[in-house]
Formats: sequence, structure tokens, C-alpha cells
Amino acid sequence: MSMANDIREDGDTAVFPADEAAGAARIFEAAGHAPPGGPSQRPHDEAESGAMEPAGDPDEAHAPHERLLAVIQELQARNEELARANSELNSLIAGTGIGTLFLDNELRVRRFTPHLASTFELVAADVGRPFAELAARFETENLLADAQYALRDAVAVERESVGKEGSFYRVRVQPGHAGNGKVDGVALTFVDISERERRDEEVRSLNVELETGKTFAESIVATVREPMLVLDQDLRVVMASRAFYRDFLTTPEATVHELFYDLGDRQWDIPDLRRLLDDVLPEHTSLEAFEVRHDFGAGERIILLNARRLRQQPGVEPLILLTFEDITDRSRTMQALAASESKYRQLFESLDEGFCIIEMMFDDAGQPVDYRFLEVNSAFYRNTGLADVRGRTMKELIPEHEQYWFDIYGRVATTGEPARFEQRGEGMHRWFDVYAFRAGAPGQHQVAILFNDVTARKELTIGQARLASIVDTSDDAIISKDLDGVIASWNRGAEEMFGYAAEEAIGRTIASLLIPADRQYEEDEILRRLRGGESVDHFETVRRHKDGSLLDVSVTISPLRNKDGRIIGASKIARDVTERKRYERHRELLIQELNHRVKNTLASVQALAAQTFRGAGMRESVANFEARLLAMSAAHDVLTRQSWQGAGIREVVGDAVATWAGKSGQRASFHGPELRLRPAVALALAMALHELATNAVKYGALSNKKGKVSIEWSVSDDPQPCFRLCWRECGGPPVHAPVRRGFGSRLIEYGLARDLGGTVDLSFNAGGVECRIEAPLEGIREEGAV
Amino acid sequence: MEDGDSLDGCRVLIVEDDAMISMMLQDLLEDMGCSVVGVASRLEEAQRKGDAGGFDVALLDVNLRGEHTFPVAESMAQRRQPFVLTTGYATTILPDALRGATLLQKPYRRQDLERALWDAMHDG
Repeated sequence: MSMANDIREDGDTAVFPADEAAGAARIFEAAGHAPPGGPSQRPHDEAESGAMEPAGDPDEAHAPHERLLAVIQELQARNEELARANSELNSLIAGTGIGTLFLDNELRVRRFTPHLASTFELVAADVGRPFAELAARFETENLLADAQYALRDAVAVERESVGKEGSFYRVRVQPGHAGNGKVDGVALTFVDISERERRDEEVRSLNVELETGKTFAESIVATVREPMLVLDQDLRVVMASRAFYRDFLTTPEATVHELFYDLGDRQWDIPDLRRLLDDVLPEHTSLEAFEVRHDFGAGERIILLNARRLRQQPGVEPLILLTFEDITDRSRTMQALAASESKYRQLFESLDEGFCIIEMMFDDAGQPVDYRFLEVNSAFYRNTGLADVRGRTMKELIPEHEQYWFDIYGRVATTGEPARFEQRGEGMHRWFDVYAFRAGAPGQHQVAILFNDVTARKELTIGQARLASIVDTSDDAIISKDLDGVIASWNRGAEEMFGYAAEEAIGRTIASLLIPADRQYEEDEILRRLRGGESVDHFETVRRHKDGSLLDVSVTISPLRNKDGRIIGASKIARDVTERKRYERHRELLIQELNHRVKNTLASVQALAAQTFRGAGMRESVANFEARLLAMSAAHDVLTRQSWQGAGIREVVGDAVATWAGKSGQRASFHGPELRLRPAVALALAMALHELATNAVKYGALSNKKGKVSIEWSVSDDPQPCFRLCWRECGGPPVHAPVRRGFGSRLIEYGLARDLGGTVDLSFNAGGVECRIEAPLEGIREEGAV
Repeated sequence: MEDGDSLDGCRVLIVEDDAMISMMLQDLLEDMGCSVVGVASRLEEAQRKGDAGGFDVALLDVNLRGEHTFPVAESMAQRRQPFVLTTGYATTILPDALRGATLLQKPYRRQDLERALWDAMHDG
């Protein structure tokens, strides 16, 4: 290393300085006094022997003995001195490792150093040979010419040569100086500069690298996306990136070599920043994210400053790298993101659907076994009935929670395939409509779940399914239609009742399919009422079978509404009442026939009586008989009109009054609640009223011009339901109780009382006849009647 | 309605299957001054006597042994021949052609019969 330094120091000097050249000359001069010998083969003693041949010593030889001796001694001394000098010189030459070749004035080899011998394969026998024969070995062009030139002109010549195996040599050809100022031979020194050459090469390539690096750094600075400044330690700008010019609307001219604080409108001259750069940075290597807010001309920007002190070698001025990160947009984005996140949170909170994020838990075999709630919204609690679930696992909350939930969510977590399904959570007693999808990264095993409690709907659906099966198995025709009467559904009952298959009926109108021509107006009326939201109950009509036969049907029709409550059609249930109708008609006929026979029999009896008592002076008796017969017949009429299903008391009383009140004008009045009487009671009451009226017309209130009859009845609840009727006469002639109870009185007092199961009190008061009838309601009222 | 003499000399055809009632009717009608010009107890007899005419008013029982006498009544209506329908039915459904015909419910009083005959002859 030090050797290299030395050489380099030599190498730095292009030409020999005069004193050094003189130094070299002195060595050479001493060597010149000592006769040359084989340098390596002959150390000091050989040099001594070499001194035995004086080389041109000019001392005189004719001196006395003593003088001679003194001369010898002196010579001896000088020889010793010379030998010592020679020896020193040899050690020096050997020690330097510099190959040196000494030539005499004839350019013969005088001597050479051991180093040179090994390098250029010189041997002892080469001493005395002309250099011209050896020059080629030194692989240096024109070396002979250089030597001749140096010898002739006494100048030093230097040349570099490339030796074997790429080694470099600097060859210096130096004329030797004899003591008398003449040139004495030439010394060629070969300095191996291979090492130095390499160092030079390194330096050159380092320089290139340095240059490249600098360019590289500059181009990085120039092209880096963020604004960047390189400052020297006085905070002057050394370099700036293009982004800096662009972002801060400035130019290289206004920036480079300027003080950082002077840039722009001194926007960087901020106390905080000054403290930072002046105080903090010198103590630290870097600082990061120093926030500066400033309006650079296009609205306020938020800039984060990063500063770094660049480590340099000692003695080199440190640089400061400043980068500027404009986070205005990012900051806005972050704010927007935060706002949007809060918006989403609000959204999730306002959802009616339950929402949660869960983390699936798997066992060692990879089977899903449980999950933990990470996030839930408030609707979650409403929809599940659970409380305080965050951070807890499903099995902690509901140990019996069904495995299929874990399977489904586990699959979503591992495959990323979303799942939509309806399931029942028995532990929560609810049905859920669920949409589950993977949240976050696959490895997190998180699943987001959006769900609804659909228990009510599900149960309705189950109810509907049951309903549908009822509809399907019903014997009634159950049909739905829209508001234009177009059939939308048609059950099996309808198929059987009307003979059309569902696919034949659906899409056609009720009117065209089922309604006989003479009843088309009915459907128009039905549709009109449906549109108004009305129902049609138990409407009895006639409908047409596919085979053309007519069916008696009882129809109930209700409007169908959609979930908004708008009427969109109607459901219609039709029952085939043809059989019932037939039965009813049959029954009607039977009653008619019965009545016909009863009436005809009564007429026959009437005729029989008339014939029997004809001309026997019994005209009045016959008339009485006839009147009683007709009263009974009238009561039968009432019963017949009601198909023998009891008779309304008003009709019974009204009819009875009508038969004699026609002549009496408004002299009879009746009042009381409507009551349905049993047929037998109705007949008995009618006959009793007939007898009372007959008596009143003959003797009582209706026998004069001003008497009146009032009939009033009531129903009371004390202590049990009781019927009371009162016949009261007034304004008639004075009443005399009959001496003998006639048929009429007996019919009323015994017959009626027995038929009613109650009591009858007939009083012949002086002011007028009064008849009070009292009977338990139970005995007189027709069961099941209104 | 006037007194019985308004029916004086009125010729009546009786269509009635019940002999007892028929006899009673004859007595009643004669009491009223009418003369019974014919009695029929069967449908085809009724039809024939009706068609033959010679009466001022007919008393027609609706049901002759289970057969309706409506056809007889209808042909009388077409000829504008007055007639009274007698019936034991409380409510008798009449064919459209006979709507408005005079109807007499059995059993009837003498005055009911007089009124019905008078109505039939004057409304017809």
C-alpha cells in the first residue's frame, strides 16, 4: 500500500525534478567509481575485487615508499569507503525493487539489479554484452535509440512500456555523470507501474461512475414524482425536481442557488420549519411528515415535508434532501372516505334488515363449528331478539344453533361464493331470509350477513300452502278473476262443477264461460260492486255447465287486494245448490199440494155444511160456521206463505183484523214487536182473535159506530222470557157477562191456553171485553227464527 | 160492487172437479140470480165447453185432478171471455198470459164470490 503510494507520488511527477535527478546521479557517480560486477552473484567482497581494476585513477605512481604507503593507505581507505558506498548502493538498489540496468559509454551492459535479472531473464554472462543484443528482451520500442540519445545529448528520456503478461513499466533512461561533468554511461530504470496503472484505471472508472451516479441522481431528482429539493448546508438549493417546479409554479432560474427560505413568496419561511431545519435536522438524520398548509395560488394545499441529511464522507459538505408530499387530495379523499364510511354506517343503522359481520371458526379438520360476531347494526337485535352479541360467538348465545348455519357460512367464507337462503333458527323461534357474502380478505374468514326476520311471512306462506291444499280439495268451485272478469285461477272443484279443465277456463271471462245469456247483466253488476270494494254474499243464481245444463249456485264474491290495498280482482266461491234447490222446490210443491188439499177440504166442508143446513132456517148458524172456517183458512194462508216455518205475529194479527176491520174502518189498532210463532200457535191465536172479533162485532165495541179495539203484545224477561198479549175493547155498549159460556169463549179460554201452554184471562168488564194472554216465550216462539 | 141483482141472469160455466164444491157453487150462484149453464170436471171437457161458449163468465178451478187448467184460461183470455180462477194454493204462480186474471182463494164467502165474478166481467 505504502509502496503504491510512493509510486503514485513518483508517478504524479511527469518530469524528474532537478535535485532528485541529481541524487540519482550521485548514486550513479559512486557506482561509476566502483568497477561493476555481477550484482546478485557478487555481494561486497566481489565489489571489492572489482575495485582491483581502477578505472582511470589519475594519481601519480612515482612516490617514495612512505608516500606510497600513505597513498596505499589512503587508497585502501578510499577503497574501503568506496566498497562501503558500493555496498550501500547495492543494498539500496536491491531494496527498492526497481530494476536498473547500467550501460557503459559503448552501451555495453555494465551491471544490473537482481530484480531486473529475474524480470528480463538476465544472467551474469550478459555483463559486457552490447545492449543492442539485449534490447529486444525489454519489449520496449526504441529503447536502444533512447539510450543512444541520452548518451549523446546527456538528457533523460522516459517512456512507458507494456511488458509480458500485461505488466506496465515506466522506463527512464538517464545519462550518468562522471565527476568531471562528462556523461558516463546510461542507467535504465524499469519501474513496474502495473499496480499504478490499475489504480489509474480504477480512478478513471470511478470518475465515470461518479459522473454516471451524479447524472443518475440528477435524473432521479428530476423525474421523481414528488417535488424534491437538494439543499446545501446553508440551505441553498442545489437541485430541484421538475415536480417541484410544476407543483409550486416556479422555474429553475428562480430556484437553484437561492436560499430555501427565499423561494416563492417566502412561503417556506415558517418559524416551525426554520426551527426544524436549523435546529432539529443538524441533530438528526431525518424528519418526516412535517405538515405545512399554504396557498400556492390555487387554493390551500396541505404539504407534508420529509427532510433527510445525506451522509457524506468526512470533509465533504453535507447535503439536505427535502421532499414535499402534497396530501391535499389524499386528505380530501380520506375525509370523503370517512364521510362515506359514516354514511355507510348510517345506512346500515337505518336498514330494516339486520346486518352483521362474523368471523368463522373452524376445527382442526377444517369443519366450520362456530362464528363470532364482529359488527352488528341495531336492526340485528330487532330481527333476532338477541342482545349484546358483539365479540361473542353464536354457540355462546344459542348452544343448539343448527349446524347448517355454520356449514353455509363456512362455505361462503372459504369459497367466496355468496349465499341466499331461507332458514329457521329454532333457538330464536324465527325464520330468516338471508344473504351472506364474504367480507375482507379470504384468509380472514369473515362473512357479511344481511337478513330479515320473515317468520310472519313464512308462516303466512305455510298458511297459504295449507289454504291452497284446502282450495284444491274443496268441492266448492273457487275461482279468482281480475276486474274485467278474466279467470286467473280455477280449482278442481270448479273443474268438476262446471266441466271445464283449468287450462280451458283460465284466461277466459266468467261471462263467456259460465253465465247464461239471460243473466249477463248480473256479472256487470257484480264487477261494478267489486270495483267499489263491495262483497257479494250468498248470491243465488244460475250458471251454465260446459254441457249446457244449468246449475243453481250460491256465490260469494270478495274483492282481492294487492299489498297496497288496491283492488285487483276477486275471489269467487260457488256452491252447487241445484240439489238443494230441487229439494226446496219439491218441498214447496208438497206444501202447495198440502195447502191445496186443506183448502179444498175446507171448501168441501163449507159446501157440505151449506147443503146440510140448506133451507132449515139455520142461516145464521151456517154463516158463523163459514166465518170460523174462513178464519182457519186465512191462518193457513199465513203459514203457507212462510212455507210452514212459523208465522210472524204481525201478519197473523193483521190478517185477522183485516177480515172484519174492512167494515170497521180504523177502529182497530195493534202494536207489538215482531215475533215468529209456531204454526200451531199461529193457528190458535188466529182462531181466538176471530172469536173475539166476532163477539165484538155482534155485541161489543164494534157493534156500534164508535167503539174501538186495541191489541197490544210484548215480550218481557221477568223472571223468564214471557209473552203477553192484551185484547181490549172500549167505547162499545155496556157489556153483560154471558149467561152461558159459548163455543167462542171456550175456544179462547181452553183451546188457546192449552195450545200456548200459558193462561188466558177473558173478562167481560162493563167498559169493554178484555182478554189477557200470557205464555212462556219458549213455548210459542218458532225455534231458530229471527 | 153493486147488489146481487147486477149479476141477475148472468150465465156461468163452472169448471170444478170436486162435486161437493160444484154443488155448493150452483146453490150460491142461483141464490145470486145467476144461471149455471154448464159444469165441467175434466180438462178436455172444460176445454170443449169453454170453446163452445154460451156463458157470460166461467169459474175455473186451477187444478183438475193434478192438471192445470191454464190452457183453458189462456184461450178464454184470447177470446176476451171473462173468467175467475179459483185455487186452494196460497200463492199461485200464473203464466205470463194470465197475469192480471181474477183469482179467488178457496174456501170463499158468498160476498168474495160475487165480487170476483163482478170484477172479472167488468175488468176483462
